[in-house]
Amino acid sequence: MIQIVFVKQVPFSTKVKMDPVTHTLVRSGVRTQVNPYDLHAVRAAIEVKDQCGGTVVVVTMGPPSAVAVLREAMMHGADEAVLVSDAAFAGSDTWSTSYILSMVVRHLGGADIQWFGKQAIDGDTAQVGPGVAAQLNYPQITEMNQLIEVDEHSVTVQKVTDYGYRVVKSGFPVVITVNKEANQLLSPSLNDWLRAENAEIRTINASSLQLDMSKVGLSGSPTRVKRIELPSTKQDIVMLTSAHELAQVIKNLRK
Amino acid sequence: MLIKSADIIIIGGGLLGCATAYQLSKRTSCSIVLYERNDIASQATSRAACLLTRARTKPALMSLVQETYDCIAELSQLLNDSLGYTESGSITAVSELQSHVALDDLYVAATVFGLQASWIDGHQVKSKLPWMETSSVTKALYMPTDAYIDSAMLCNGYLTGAKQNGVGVTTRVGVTNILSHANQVTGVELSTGEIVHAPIVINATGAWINRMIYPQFAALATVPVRSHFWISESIPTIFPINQPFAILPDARAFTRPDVGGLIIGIREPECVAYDPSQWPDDIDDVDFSPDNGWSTLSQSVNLFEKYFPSIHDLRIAHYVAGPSCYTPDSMFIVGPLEPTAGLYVAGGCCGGGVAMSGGIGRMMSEIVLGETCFVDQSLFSPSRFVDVHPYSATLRKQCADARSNKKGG
Ligand SMILES: Cc1cc2nc3c(=O)[nH]c(=O)nc-3n(C[C@H](O)[C@H](O)[C@H](O)COP(=O)(O)OP(=O)(O)OC[C@H]3O[C@@H](n4cnc5c(N)ncnc54)[C@H](O)[C@@H]3O)c2cc1C
Repeated sequence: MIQIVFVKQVPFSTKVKMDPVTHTLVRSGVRTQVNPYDLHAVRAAIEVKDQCGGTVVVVTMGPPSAVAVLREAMMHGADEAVLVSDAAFAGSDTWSTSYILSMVVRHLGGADIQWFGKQAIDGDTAQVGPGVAAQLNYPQITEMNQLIEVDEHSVTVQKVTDYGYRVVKSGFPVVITVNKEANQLLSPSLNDWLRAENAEIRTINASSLQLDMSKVGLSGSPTRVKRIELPSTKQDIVMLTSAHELAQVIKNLRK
Repeated sequence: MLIKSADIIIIGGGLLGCATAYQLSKRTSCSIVLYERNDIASQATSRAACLLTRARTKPALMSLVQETYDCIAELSQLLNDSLGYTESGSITAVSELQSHVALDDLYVAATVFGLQASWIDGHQVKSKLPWMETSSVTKALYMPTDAYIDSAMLCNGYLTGAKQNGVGVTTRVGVTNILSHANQVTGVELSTGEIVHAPIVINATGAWINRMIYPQFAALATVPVRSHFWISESIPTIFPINQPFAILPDARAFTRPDVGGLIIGIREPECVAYDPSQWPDDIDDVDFSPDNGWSTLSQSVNLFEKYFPSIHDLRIAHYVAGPSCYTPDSMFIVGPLEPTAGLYVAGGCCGGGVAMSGGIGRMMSEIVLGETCFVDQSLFSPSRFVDVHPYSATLRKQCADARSNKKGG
């Protein structure tokens, strides 16, 4: 079985900074990591591989520095890694990214399962997995929170819906996006790190993908971000250290 | 509460500032205020491995540690809280012949001081630490009363004790300047713009200690040096929390159980020292290792392998790194900062600030209050170093070497 897991590089710090002029996320200088949901997608793929065998390929689209997240994903068990990188991709929105990644799937010869994290913690759109499914005309299962059964022909998962859960079975190929509840991550070992560190990473650029260049990059992206704002957080928090202080606060509130 | 003046101002809400606040508040009815610009126990204190190693070759250091144990007992009772204290015992095990002498010296010093210590053989080490490969162990010292603690809880414990004694605490407000007039401290300026008058100011700002006093007053021979450890995944059957912590001088390593996992600290042959003048105000913004400690682990694991061959396959759940402030002679800096009257410093705690906190707090209090000090304060005197260039590469190298060459826990 061939599985592709798409992973994204996101800022490491939880302290997201916003550029006050451009209203975009300040990403430079911030250490990056694999989007946390994507590691659960990697784990799901490894669980499937444990049962059905085959190969797990991790793919990321990003600058050359994104190899770090590919290596991180490999530490968690992926067999191969592909970096999709080209200056022309800069500024691609979710629609354009979905188009590029769908062409990557084609370029790699397709896979039985294409895995994504439920969403990325920087943009929070949850659109790229479904977008790739739409571009490829594959069935999609979003928000998997439990892998129930898998064999060479189909996969059965429980997914989250607005009203509860639904059990869905699909044949291959399929696109699945994964919640954090879907599985427990295993910590890597020094040997896992060494294997990932020494692994060869393939790079694919725009020219190898036979893209319609009018659909990629900033100019090929229909999304227009007018404004992004950080929600204001409450700064006036007081930590109470005793029941007595709490009683005092309640007394004052009642006044 | 708007404070315009106090008798004593303490800058820094880490272990040293909080222990000093507690010890002072027990000894004086002076008005004491403490300012912390982040949260209490959020900086070096939050990253410690928390070993309370009692045995040291210098009696003064053992007295400082004993004082910490006494404080812990006192605070546990006062606050009705264990503070995460676990009396696990410790084992110091060596393999190389040349390490025997140092271990013999440690045994003599510890027993003369009155500590419980006994020699155990490889089999006994194995029975206490079944995960360890002990075939290379040629000598081992067991100290049954050694313990570890939760450093953040201890820090908050000191502070709660201090608050009960009337110390005023303000967090999220930093001191931007120490004020003085004619070689006498007069107070501090806060990040809020307020001025607080006081004749005594104690600088316990950890890695930022020089930033607070240099170049205005003087410089201290200490810089932050990266200290770190790895925590394995939780396997409580193999690493139960009551196992002794281990000090392995020949592997430059220590281990201790941690909620079912194993903390493994391994010192690099060449430690990394930082220029604190370039540092942000919060260590959350310091990148101690771009690859989360993996390359460091792979480079320094070779000596540790013989005690734990399966280290290569052990799942590592966390890498924890932070600034330990070292000095060229591996001794702390506690005392008055001459020539400015009323200005005191407590820092440079060389990876032992948890174990020594109560003692340093007491020493600082006794010095500030002009009482006879319970240990020889000259060992820790800020003026023992001369011609200090706090941001120089030379000092960084000296302090990094002090950590690299460290043998104990
Ligand atoms: C990885 C690691 C493992 C360790 N293991 C052990 C161990 O096993 N045993 C042991 O005994 N010790 C250990 N240590 C050492 C111990 O953690 C330190 O010695 C101790 O925490 C130092 O306390 P501190 O108060 O000096 O520093 P900090 O905890 O850093 O406190 C200084 C405080 O000052 C504040 N501050 C700075 N500037 C200002 C300002 N201008 N205004 C207001 N506030 C300011 C800071 O925000 C900070 O909170 C370890 C350290 C590390 C990093």
